[in-house]
Amino acid sequence: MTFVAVLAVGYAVYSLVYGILAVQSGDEDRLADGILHLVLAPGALTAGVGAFWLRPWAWALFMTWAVIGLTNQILRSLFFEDPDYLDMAINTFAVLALSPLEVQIAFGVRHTENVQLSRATRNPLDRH
Amino acid sequence: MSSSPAPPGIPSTATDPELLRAFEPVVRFTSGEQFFPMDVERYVRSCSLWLYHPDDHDEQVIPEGALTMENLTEPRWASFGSVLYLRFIRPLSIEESARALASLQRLKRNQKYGFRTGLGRLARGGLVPRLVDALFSATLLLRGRVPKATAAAAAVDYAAMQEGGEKYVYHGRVVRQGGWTICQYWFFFAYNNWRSGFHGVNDHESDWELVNIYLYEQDRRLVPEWVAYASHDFHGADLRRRWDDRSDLALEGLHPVVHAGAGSHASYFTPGEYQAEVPLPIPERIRQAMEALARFWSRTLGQAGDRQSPFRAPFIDFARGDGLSVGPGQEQEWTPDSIDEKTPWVTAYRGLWGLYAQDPISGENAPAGPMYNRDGSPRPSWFDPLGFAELDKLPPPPLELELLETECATLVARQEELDCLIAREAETLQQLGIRLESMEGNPHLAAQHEKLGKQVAELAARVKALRREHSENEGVLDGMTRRLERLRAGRRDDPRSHIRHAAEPVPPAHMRFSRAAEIWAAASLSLLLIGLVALIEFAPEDAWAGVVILLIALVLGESILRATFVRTVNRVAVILALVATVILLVHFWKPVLFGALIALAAFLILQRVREFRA
Repeated sequence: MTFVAVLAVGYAVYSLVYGILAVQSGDEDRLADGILHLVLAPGALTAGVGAFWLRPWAWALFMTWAVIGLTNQILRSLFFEDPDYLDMAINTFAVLALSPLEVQIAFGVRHTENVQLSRATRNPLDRH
Repeated sequence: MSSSPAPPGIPSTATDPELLRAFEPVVRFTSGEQFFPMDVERYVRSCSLWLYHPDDHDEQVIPEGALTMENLTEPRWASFGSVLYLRFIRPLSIEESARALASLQRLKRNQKYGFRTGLGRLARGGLVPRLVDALFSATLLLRGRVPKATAAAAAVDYAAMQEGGEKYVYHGRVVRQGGWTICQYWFFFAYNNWRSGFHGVNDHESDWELVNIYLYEQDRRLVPEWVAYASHDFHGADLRRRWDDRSDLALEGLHPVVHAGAGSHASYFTPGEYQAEVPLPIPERIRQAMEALARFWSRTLGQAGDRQSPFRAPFIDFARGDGLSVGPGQEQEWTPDSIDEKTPWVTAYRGLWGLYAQDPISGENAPAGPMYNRDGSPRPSWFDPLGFAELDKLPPPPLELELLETECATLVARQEELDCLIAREAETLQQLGIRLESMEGNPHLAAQHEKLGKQVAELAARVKALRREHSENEGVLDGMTRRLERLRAGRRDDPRSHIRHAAEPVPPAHMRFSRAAEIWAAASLSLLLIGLVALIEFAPEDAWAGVVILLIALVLGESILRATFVRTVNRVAVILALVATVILLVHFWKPVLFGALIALAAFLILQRVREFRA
């Protein structure tokens, strides 16, 4: 989870720097994108800090973020041929890291009494 | 000297009618119920008799007003594939239908017990179950079904019958089987209006329900031990409760309390609202694919599995027990009617007791009588009331101890026999084994070695099987001995140990959705369709992208209202991540492949280096 948290903090820093540079450049085409990154940066930072502390809201924030990001990128890839593959890969990685049941339990968004954690035995002695 | 209180029951000298009277159930109906148990004769007199022919035409055999219990049971010739049926409500014209519906509204206004749906059933399922429900409703257009006005006319006619002489009737039968005495209470209703009256699965003319009470004889008394109610989706042992099981079975003296489902008349032990689910019939291949997907979801992706299939339509069976109560000491008392194999209408009439709606899955076709299935074959609950509740394998309690002692003794004897047999066979095995060992290294004995080898292998397998049997018997014997000790000490088994799936009402806490969720449940499907139309009309180029966004927004929005956001966002995110993975693999297959190969190479080198250094 630490890696996901670091990723979020890194993404926040990147968004912040990108946003500032885009706004400072005065390029009108990049202005909207820059403002969007500046708005997203505090969210990513909050989610990252929350993930360090395994807060349930951080998990929910991350996943919501990932759903929006992945929907955007998949649609851009399928219908507009303009995807940002790096963004897609980061979101995919975050989802695959955050979605396993054990991780959800660690974040406190699922409770052990509601889920079946047992796996089929691999002990050969149990097969006879 | 203290004497233990006599078990509940009545003297075994009681006649069958006395027996039925002594244990007759109390049936609590749901407020708003329009049909109550009635006598078959009054019903038959207001019916006509019809014959459906395989060439798809219906012939009236006896018109309304001329039908009696006598001519109903007359033998009739009919070709294979034909269906004999009663018709309570004749086909209605538009004007008659309108009049029947208006009369029903007047009747409802004057009813003492009115019905309030409460939480809508559609709010209790997700978006997919609502889609399935829409499909299920659509199938009613294709299947044969009973028109809604028929239900209204039936309710009006039934109310008129009751005004002519209010009567609540059960058809009782006493059967003696396998040491048990079984009191069967058959309840006949003129109509099942679950669909048209209470948003349920089906409507059909006539309805039969059953309550069985199982008694055993002890000290010249008949003592009740089990009670079984006919109910949706439950079979065998799940239908019965032990007389002392107070967690489920309510009693009023010697009278078990039944809570009848509104319109469906299914019987429940505890009052409440039961969620009945009708699964959508899915082709085998699709079902297998879904199972494989579910395994990939839970095992490979490490996700929580879903306990329920989304491909089901949720229906509610309201068995609130807040309406009319019929039974001893209740608002209305029973009028009993005894039946048995000699009762002509029970044995001689094999047809349906109401309209044959030509529904291929039979949900809207009327049932046959207590003794027969719809196809005229014998009904197991009639000829095998013990098997109906899986009691055929249980002896009555007074015989249990004796039977168990005999079984234990038999098993002990078998164990002793096995001890001798195993010792003997094991010794022979060792003798043959040593002979086999001695043959090795002698090429001229190859044929004998092979023959003996086979013999040794067979004997070894037999010894293994005997040892397995002995070991398994030990476990069984251990269980039987403990049970024997419990029985000797007068301790009984857990009264609920036989129940695999108990019908339980949905707890109210699970259904406290907000009003917004209800409105959303009712409107979401229509909103989705309107959204689709708007997208196709106003943004045809981006319609597909719009559909995806609309669906995800609907699903997530609904999950917030239903307090399932975490589960839903997780599912949606994982599905999107899988799609993204495929896209990434397609676009970057070369770097991904090279990366994987390089990583594998590095891993192998690392392993070898570790081996060298070890």
